[in-house]
Amino acid sequence: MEICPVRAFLMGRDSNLSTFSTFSMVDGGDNQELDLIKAAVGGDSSAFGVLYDRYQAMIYRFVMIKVGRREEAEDITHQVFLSAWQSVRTYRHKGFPFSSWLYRIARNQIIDHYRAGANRKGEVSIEKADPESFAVAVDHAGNIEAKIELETVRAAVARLRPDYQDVIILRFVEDMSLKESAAALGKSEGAVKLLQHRAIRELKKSLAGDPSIAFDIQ
Amino acid sequence: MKLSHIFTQFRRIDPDPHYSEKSKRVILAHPREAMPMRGTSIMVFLRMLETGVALVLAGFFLLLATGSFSGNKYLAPVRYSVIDPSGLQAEAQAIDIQIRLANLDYSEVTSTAPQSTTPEAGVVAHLLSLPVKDASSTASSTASGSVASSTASSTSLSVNDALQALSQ
Repeated sequence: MEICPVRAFLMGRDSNLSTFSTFSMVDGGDNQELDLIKAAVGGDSSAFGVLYDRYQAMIYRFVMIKVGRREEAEDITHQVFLSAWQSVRTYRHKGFPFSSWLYRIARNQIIDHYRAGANRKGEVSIEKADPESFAVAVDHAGNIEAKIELETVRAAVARLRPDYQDVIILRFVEDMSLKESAAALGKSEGAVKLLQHRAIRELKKSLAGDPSIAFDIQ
Repeated sequence: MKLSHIFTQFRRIDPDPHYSEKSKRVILAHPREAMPMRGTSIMVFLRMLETGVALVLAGFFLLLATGSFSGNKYLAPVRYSVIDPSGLQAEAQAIDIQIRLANLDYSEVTSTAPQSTTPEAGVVAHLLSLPVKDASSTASSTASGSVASSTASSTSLSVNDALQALSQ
């Protein structure tokens, strides 16, 4: 597989990663974050760097579950933050969290990625897939069966409609509340609830043929 | 494995630390595109031009709409009608219309009319050139009595008298 030049450039072992800080995303009312956003809009690169540290892992997970390949997820995540940095001047805080803007950019980047044909959404069958390229880095177990199950679920989620995927990822992977998910997606809580209900129903249908996975969410 | 546990495992998906640091450094070192001032002023100029053209067109159409109002000729600079009211009026006055009643003729009633006929009947009959019935009928005798006395003495009967007699 041809290595993307961005990934090739970024691979290295130079410095340590700064620790992520936790924060609240409820209705974007975090004053500290608002100050950071204001500074970033004004052109302060260090303020944007802090925002990058806060949201990079979330966006990466979001993209990874959708595309399924580490290299592509890293490229897309890099493009997301690059676009955000270049257009943060036009960002206007309207009561939604900063992450909702990043998620929107991420969704658009994924659409552009598929349009460019870099990778087709058609999956590789489990038998032919390389387990080392799976999204999940399972540190403690690492057994191949667990990895296959994880990839099966990930592929089932990736087959859902984009808005269903968003709700599943935010609600069950990022463990956001209904309110936080609605704010991140720019929708009402009722709409998110309805999407969640339908997404679970579709996911259940998709995973019905796999007896090893017990469906315990609602 | 339970699905909820699998989703929990998904939370462990993290980017490669070295990749993250390099990506951040590259992004922050990337210069942001400055908005060209010239582009901004050109856009402002174009918007003003667009507004001006819209106003001119609106005024032009307003003038066209009021062009049909003839109350004040200064408000109707555009005359698109081919009809000239003043010219038509002059033309109408110039037409010489003279009405004549041609071949209007009436005859005088004479005393030599036969006695069997009533005088007014004779007058009317003569005027209308119709045959006269026998005056011995009682219906016409009383009506003609007074007329007979008035007409017996006169030889000529005026048109007004004839008409009056007819109306009776």
